[in-house]
Amino acid sequence: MQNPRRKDFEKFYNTHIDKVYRFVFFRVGYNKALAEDLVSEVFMKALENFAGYDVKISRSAWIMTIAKNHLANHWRDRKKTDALPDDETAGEDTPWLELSAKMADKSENIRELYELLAKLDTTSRHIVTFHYIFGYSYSEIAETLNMTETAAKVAAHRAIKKLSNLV
Amino acid sequence: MSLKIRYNLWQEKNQISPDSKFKADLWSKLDAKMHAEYGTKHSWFETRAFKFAAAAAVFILIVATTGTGAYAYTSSSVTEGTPLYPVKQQLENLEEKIQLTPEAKARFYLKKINRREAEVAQMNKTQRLKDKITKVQDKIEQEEDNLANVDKILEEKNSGDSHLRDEIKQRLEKRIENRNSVIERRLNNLEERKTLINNKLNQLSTESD
Repeated sequence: MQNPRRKDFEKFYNTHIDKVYRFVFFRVGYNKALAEDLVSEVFMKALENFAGYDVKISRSAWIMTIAKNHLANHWRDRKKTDALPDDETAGEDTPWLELSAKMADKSENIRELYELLAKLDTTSRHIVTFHYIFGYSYSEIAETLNMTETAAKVAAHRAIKKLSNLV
Repeated sequence: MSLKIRYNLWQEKNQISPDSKFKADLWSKLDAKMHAEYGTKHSWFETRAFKFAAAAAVFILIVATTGTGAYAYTSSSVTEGTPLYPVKQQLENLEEKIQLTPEAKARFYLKKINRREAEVAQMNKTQRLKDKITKVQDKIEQEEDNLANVDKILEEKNSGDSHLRDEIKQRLEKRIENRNSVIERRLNNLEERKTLINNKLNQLSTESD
């Protein structure tokens, strides 16, 4: 195993910790303790394999794949049957999003927010959720939806406008 | 309305974000693992404590050298109950956090005690309310406790700075003297009261006779 450069790994950690945590937290029904355990394990795995990571090629996809596989293993081990997305970045309907929103103890405002989000079309909902809640950049979203970054930005702007009109 | 939507989205994002303690703890674990497995060493200037100390030092420098901050920090007329006193205290709290060694902490507590004493003198001069003065005196006691704790560390460490140790010793001796004089004063007060009561009782018994 090669020696990961501390500075590089620290930068990698600071860039991705929030995104990975949100990804996991959302999928374990807002269970903070479980999310923290799983995220710790994900980053331990990432550290072990950091020598194979190339920031120019994989950006956040590498760590998200580790997180996704780790979550899948966790559910398999626990023999859980909760709905999980086939692909975390899939543009289809995301039942886990609704499931998590219902499971958590939400304030009235946030419940209203999810109700409004449900009224958007799939792509708009995907862009707003991933950009504003999960913290993905427009370029990352554009990549997964096969569109340009500008198109993603315009779609997000329109979606927010639409949400405002729905209030 | 767009603002409300954006605010709710931001709020939800914050709610599902990890807290800073968890992030710091996890980084410590990863760092320890890296160090144990690969011997990855990091320079002292890369440590979190140093980064925090450096940031706090810059902040103190900026606030303490600009107008109101400088006045609040340096003036002994900024005392308990004045509007600028919270600014002074916050600057001192930050200054306390950047004292990394026991020696630096001891020097800082000595300075803090002197400043509180100057404030008490100022408050006595301006005849401030007694409860405010008592509050500052309680703070002096607290700083003296901190100083005594640091002194124990220096003793265990057998610190070579004899001048500093002497200064601490003097300060702590002064504390004992102050406490003794307070006790003496209280005893005198009690004696005076006792005499007064006895006199009253004698007077009453004479009257009844």
